[in-house]
Amino acid sequence: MLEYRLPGRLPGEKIIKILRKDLFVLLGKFTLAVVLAGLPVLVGFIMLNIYPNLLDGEISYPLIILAVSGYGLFIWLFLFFSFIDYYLDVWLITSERIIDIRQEGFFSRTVSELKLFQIQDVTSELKGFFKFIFRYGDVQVQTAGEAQRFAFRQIPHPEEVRDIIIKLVEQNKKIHAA
Amino acid sequence: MTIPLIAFLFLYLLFVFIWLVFSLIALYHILRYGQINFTTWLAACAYIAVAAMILFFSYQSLSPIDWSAGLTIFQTGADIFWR
Repeated sequence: MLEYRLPGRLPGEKIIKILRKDLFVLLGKFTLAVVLAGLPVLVGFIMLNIYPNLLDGEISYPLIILAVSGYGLFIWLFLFFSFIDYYLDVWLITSERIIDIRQEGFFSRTVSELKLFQIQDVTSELKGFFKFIFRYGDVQVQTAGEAQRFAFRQIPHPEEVRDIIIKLVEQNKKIHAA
Repeated sequence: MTIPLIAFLFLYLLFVFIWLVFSLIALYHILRYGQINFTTWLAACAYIAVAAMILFFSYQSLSPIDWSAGLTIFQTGADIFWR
C-alpha cells in the first residue's frame, strides 16, 4: 500500500500513484556534483606537480585541509539538497483528486490540488531527444474555464499517467453524477 | 602584513556553523515532508554519516597543527627575497 502524509485526507480516499520527476533528472544533478567534487582532486594533482612540497608547508597544509573540508561539506550539502528537491517535489494521484506538492528552495513549499471531477482535458507530452529516448515528459491537466493548467513536469511514462488520470476522472464523474 | 593562521580556522568554523544550520533545515524538510518509508530514513542517515566522516577527518588532520603561525602577505621590495 502506498503511504504518504496526504494533506487534508478525504474520507475513503486512496492513493493511486505517487509521482516524482524522472530519475534521469536527478542523475544530471548527481553528475554535476561528482564533477564538482572531482575538481579539487584535479587542481590538487596539478598543484602538487608544480609545488611538490605543498603538503609539507606549515601554512599551506592547514589552509588546504580547511579549504578541502569546507568544499567537501558544501558539495555534500548541494548533493543532499538536490536529492531533497527531487524527493519532495511530488504529484499524488488519489481516488478523489490530484495534488501537486513543490519544494522550491529551502524556504518555500507549495501545495495545490484539483478535484478529479473538475478535470476536462488531459494531455501528455514527450518532447526532445532525451525525453523521447528515456520516456519521460509532461502531463498537462486542464479544468473547465481555467486558463492555467495543472502540470506534472518531467515524470516517467507520461502516457500511462494520462491514461490513469482519464480512467479515474471517468469513474469519479460517474460517482458524482449518481 | 601577517594574518594569524587561527583567523582561517575561525572563518572555517563560521562556515561550518552556517553549513550546520542549512543541514538542519534540509534534514527537517526531508523528515517532516518526506514519504514515510525506508528511503527517507536512509537518505537522512547517509547524509549525517558522510558529513560526520568529513568533519571527523578534518578534525584529525587539523588537531596537530600549530595555529600560532601566521601567513605573511603583501611583502614588498627586498622582503620577498630575504624571507
